[in-house]
Amino acid sequence: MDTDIGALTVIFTEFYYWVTIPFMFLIHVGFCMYEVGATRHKNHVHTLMKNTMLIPLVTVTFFFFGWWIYFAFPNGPGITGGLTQSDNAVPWGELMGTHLGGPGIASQEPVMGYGVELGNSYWARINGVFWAAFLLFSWTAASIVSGATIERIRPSAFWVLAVVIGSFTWIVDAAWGWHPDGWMVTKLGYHDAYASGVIHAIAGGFALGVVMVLGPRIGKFAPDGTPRNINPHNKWLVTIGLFMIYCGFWGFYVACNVPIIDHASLQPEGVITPTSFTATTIYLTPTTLSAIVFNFLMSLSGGMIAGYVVSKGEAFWTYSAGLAGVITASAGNDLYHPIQAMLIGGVGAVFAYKMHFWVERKFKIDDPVGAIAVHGYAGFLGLVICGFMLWGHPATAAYHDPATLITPWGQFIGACIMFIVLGFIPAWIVSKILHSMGMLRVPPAVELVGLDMSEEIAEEMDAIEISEADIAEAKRLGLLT
Amino acid sequence: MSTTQIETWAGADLSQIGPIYPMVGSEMILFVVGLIFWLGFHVLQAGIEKKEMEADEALARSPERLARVFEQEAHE
Repeated sequence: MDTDIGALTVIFTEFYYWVTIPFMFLIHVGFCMYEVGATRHKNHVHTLMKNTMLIPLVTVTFFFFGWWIYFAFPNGPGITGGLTQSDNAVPWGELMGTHLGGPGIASQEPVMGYGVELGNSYWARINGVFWAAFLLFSWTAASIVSGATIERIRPSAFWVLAVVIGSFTWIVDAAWGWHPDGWMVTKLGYHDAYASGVIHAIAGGFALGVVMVLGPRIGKFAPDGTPRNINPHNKWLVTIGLFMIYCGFWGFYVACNVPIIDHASLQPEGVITPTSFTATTIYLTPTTLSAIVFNFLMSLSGGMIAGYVVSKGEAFWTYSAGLAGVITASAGNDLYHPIQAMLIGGVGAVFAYKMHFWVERKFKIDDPVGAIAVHGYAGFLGLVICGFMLWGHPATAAYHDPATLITPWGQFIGACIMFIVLGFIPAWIVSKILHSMGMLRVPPAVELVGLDMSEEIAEEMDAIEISEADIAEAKRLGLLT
Repeated sequence: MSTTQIETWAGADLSQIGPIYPMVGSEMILFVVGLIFWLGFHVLQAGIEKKEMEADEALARSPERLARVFEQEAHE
């Protein structure tokens, strides 16, 4: 903020992230509509409230510890170093509130740690919007899991799991693999520009871990193991929900970029290049908004076209295949050619579709909305494809010299860390604990009669009471005898 | 007297002003209160939900209600 261009850059960046937040809110609106549409009438309210209440719970916990984890955990800790000092993100820090960027009145000490050279004036403007952009990713991660668990999980158990992924495991993976200095980036050359792994593969793996302990819905499988279709209650709600998620994805992609930065400022000490402003990925490697707009739409299209064909025109899977297409191409959508993005999207959509039904038949996994396939398997595949497509491209920013390069094996190890180590395993362990405490699944009788039983009876009683009052009034007016 | 560190904007040098929320210095207390508020929700809600499930389970013993639910389900 010392110069006019510095002030404009900071204020533009502040506004840029702010704009992404309401866009990403649409993802959550979409997930809520989609889940309710996919749920039977008897479970509507609980399904809605299960997903709705993750908003406040993940928000407050992301304020209390999630944001700090992102800045403190890039080294593991214990893999390439210890905890990183991150005063801008501790919940009791002055920069986690209304702050004008000066040295502070109560505390005369400047903030320490990641980005310290950017100063209080930078963090005072950026901290809240950057926190919120990351937070909306947290909601998405938790909401992906929500869809896989509908109609049988206890809401209170889901909320514990939502906090685990939304404010802990996903942000650990972001610190490791979605941070310019994360150890997966600097050691493995992990590249995942628009979160094939850091959001989608981890959430898919997490959902699989939960669902394996939770078990299928009553009636999902015939006694001989053949899966039965439990069709969406309201296809239009599902459709609008998925369109909303598409809309929200625009904000998601844009929020994954740093909008404006002088590339010369990223050069190693002693290397001088001309001033050159550019957008970058979260890794501070150059890309453009145009590139990601090309690739978002082309990978969406590739997924939808392939999905329509493979599902024989089934609406639910055509929409979901569009998502799978974007998710598969996302790891490298900062760099792909649009036609490459389209083809990768198509491959991912077919893979997700085939895997969903194969896993369902083979392992009796009940994933009502296909979340594990669309997010988990497609995300995993997208990371591996990216390793081949971008083999040898630098994964690290200019100030890492020599650069760490993207490789297929680095991407494969990264995909396993996302899906299995930070996704599946923590979910399975926490679900087992909740199960052993009798807190994971609703009782079978309640599942059969529906989770909204109490609400429905209360509404019936209200309606009867109002009807009786109306009858009494009609009699008083002589309209009824 | 102000609950914030600011009593006038006249002549203020913004580059020298840091936090301006009320009661600067109370952040750690606020954090602890916030943690209790969050954890309290989980504890209270687990108890409420347990009672609700027991009530629902008892209501689910009604064959008429079950029949109604299943009939509706068959028409969805």
